[in-house]
Amino acid sequence: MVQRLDTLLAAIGAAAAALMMLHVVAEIFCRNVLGITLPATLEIVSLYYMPALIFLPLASVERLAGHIDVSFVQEAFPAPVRRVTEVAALTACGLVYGAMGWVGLQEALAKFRIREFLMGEVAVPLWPGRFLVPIGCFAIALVIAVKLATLFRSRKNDAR
Amino acid sequence: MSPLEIGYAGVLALVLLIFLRVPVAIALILPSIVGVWAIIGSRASWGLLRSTPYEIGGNWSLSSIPMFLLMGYVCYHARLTDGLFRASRAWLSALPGGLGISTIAGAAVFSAVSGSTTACAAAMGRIAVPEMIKERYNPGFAASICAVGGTLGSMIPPSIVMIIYGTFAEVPIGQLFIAGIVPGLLSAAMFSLVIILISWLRPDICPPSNSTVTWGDRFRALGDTWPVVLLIAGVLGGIFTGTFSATEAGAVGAFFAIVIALVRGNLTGAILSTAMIETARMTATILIIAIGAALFTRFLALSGVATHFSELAILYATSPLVLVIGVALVYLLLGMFLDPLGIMLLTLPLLLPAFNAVGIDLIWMGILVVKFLEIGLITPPVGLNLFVMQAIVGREASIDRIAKVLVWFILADLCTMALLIAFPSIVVFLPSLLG
Amino acid sequence: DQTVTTSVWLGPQHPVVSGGYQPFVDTVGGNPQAGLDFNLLLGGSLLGPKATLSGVRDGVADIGFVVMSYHPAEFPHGALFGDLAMRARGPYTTAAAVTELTMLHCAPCQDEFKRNGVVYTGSYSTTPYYIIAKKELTTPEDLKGLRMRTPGGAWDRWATAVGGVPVNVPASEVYEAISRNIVDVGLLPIGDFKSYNLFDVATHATMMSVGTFYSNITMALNPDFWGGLSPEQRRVILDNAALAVVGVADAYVKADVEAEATAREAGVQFVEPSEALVAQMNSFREKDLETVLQLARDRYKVEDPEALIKTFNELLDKYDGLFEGKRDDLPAMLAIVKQEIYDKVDVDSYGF
Ligand code: NA
Ligand code: NA
Repeated sequence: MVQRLDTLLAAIGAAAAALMMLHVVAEIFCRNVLGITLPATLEIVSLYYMPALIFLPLASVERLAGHIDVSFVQEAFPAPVRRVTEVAALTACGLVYGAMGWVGLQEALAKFRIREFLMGEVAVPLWPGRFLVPIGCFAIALVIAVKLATLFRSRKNDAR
Repeated sequence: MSPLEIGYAGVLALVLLIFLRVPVAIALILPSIVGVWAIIGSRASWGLLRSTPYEIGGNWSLSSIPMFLLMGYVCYHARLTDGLFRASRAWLSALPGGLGISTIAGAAVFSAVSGSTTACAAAMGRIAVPEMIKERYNPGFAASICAVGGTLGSMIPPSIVMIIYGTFAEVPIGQLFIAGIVPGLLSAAMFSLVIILISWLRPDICPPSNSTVTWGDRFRALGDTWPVVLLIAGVLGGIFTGTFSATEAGAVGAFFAIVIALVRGNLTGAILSTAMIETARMTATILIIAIGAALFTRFLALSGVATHFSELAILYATSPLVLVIGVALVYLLLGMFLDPLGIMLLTLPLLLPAFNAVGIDLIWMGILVVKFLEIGLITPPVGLNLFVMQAIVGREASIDRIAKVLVWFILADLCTMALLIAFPSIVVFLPSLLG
Repeated sequence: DQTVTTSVWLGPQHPVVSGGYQPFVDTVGGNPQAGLDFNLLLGGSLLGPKATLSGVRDGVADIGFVVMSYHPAEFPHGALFGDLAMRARGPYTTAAAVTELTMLHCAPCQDEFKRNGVVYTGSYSTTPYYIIAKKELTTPEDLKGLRMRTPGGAWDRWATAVGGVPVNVPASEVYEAISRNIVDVGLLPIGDFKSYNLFDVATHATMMSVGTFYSNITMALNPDFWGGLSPEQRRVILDNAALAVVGVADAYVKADVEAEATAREAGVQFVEPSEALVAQMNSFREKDLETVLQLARDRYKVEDPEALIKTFNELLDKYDGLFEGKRDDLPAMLAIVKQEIYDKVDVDSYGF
């Protein structure tokens, strides 16, 4: 269930990469060949594709243990200490991403209420992109929560 | 505690968290939130956490990173670069560490296309590391070659770092770009020297090539290099004719790579979707650290740590040379914890007047600053290029293994730095020649 | 002394810093009665261009530089000023007029600031934006089909009206865009020759104003910081706030003079627009007013834009008169602005 969610989010991130490429190439083509410009390319790339690419795949990276950490010091600790640091590190990550998702959601809602937009030749609505931050952060917090739960369950089993 | 003390405590906490195996992004964010809370209060720290991620993520100039990644991933999965590596193996088989040196050369060419060090390291890493591992290079060594090769990205124009320095110092960006060419090539030569040295001293991590190659093989191997030659020529040509900007070049590069792969008939839906998914995951992995680094920069700005460092350098600067060496130390120290952009924003407003006061050539200083900042990208504990390579090689080499080999390259960089300081004409000769 | 965290996302050489923040910090910080120490953080090391508004609201910084046209949904009136870029006069007059309008005659503007958690203390105006290019452009025909780097809204509409293609290029890429012909034209103040080092890439400047930028809060204050100050401290701040208005405008003028001299030495041609181009600009300005009013009413929901524009025009006339013959005399202009605007502000009620 959680796995399906993080894969779906990563796939949306991948789609954003594809769209970004096509959008920029289309803009270059229009500018140089047709002598027109696609309105708000810069804003759409920066404020939709980029947040989608950064925040949505976070959960998938977490499930595949892909987030970058430095392991050589911790690996030298004795097993029980290692276990404690592992749980502590995961908890810290979960709390930080949860908090980031929570304040990000407040920000997104505030921008939704005033229908945040940017004015160029045409008005570009910006508020939808804001929701990518809490979606991505909550998803990774969820993956971390599932990991922690699994960790505790396995420890109970060990104890028995 | 005074803000300054809180700042130093935050740096300490960062190192501690990293060693306790807290993921780097969180190790940067956690002390920042707590530190800002301690200095100003909870409202400000939640406020920063609320606005910074979206602000840093929604950045046009960062958009070249996923696009160059995509280009590299398509090249790798569609085997566009195979021919190039066969050719370089054929031609450089006699040279110790030939494949490593051709990776450095490839990074130099890539640097002429990309303005970003991280994009350069990531794309080269995806393409070249597996090739080197195939040749039985030690994975840590292979990764460190790409990590340092990536640092050419900001020295060889175009360069985002130079644009920011040029805007701050109000020196001609065009002259900075030209000034970076020779130091960039010098750095590449020094890296190659290190590779040759290592392949002599440590055949266990860089084994000699034992295949016998005829001249016929060599010329036949050239035939299959066309995909990459075409790709690079297309992107470089587009930049130099002004068809697209260096930031847009990544998207064009990825697009060309897909088209070329399609034409050669080695593109499948599976390859394409793998490349896209890997791009998305790698972008998230790298840029969440960039967001953490931005938060940490803000925290250090409030605490005054960087200001304190810069003031110390200025205070003891009795001569231009002492100031330059002081600045080098400040940058190398800050480079251990901060990203290049953060360091520049924190220190340049203070240092530029000091440079002017002692009459330092700002173009020369700009190139030195770029060199200092680039070294910071490969020094532990926080070095973005180091992390990028770790993410690419995964379990095959841990950060400390990569870092151990990197020491050699950092020494080479320090030599380059000494050369640039001792002989400023290496830097200023070319720009003065061209006006 | 209380430490005041002050954040500007521009560099130390930028007119907003060299003409506004730096002298303000030196004067107020150097006044022992004020009891304020400033920690001036430049270049966005604390808050970037778009994060300054929320940063000042949340108290990350006590004072910050906010561009209102980046936040049209938050600042409908600020967005309207952005759209009125082409109705500006010289930088001193415009800065003083928009500041008086916003501070003294626009209750809905003050509501906007309260809603967004900032205290307004003035706006600067840039010098006119000119047409900077690599060839001589004097007639409307010359501009047809050219790619133009514009600063946004109103300029985009003008570029389209002359048959050009507005292209959005971030400031960090202006140099590259012009040097590599990614854009043919940059609409920029002359001083930007220096800031972006365009001397070796651009060859011509057409001296027709295509408007100025003044949709900003030069110094936006955190309300808790403002409320926590003593009335005397608030007075000291307002007594020196004119630096952020005419002081910055003056730095822009000086930067223009210096940059023009250097550019002329470097061989840049300064050319006059043809009558046809001037006529085109004038007719666009009038026609665009309808668009501006419609945008203000329908999109920004500004209640009575006509009345606001009328007051703005009266204030422009007023300051044109007051500054007549004094444009070389910064202290005199600072004194006029202080007397006409800041002395009329009640420090016990303003911003609360
Ligand atoms: Na480069
Ligand atoms: Na580092």
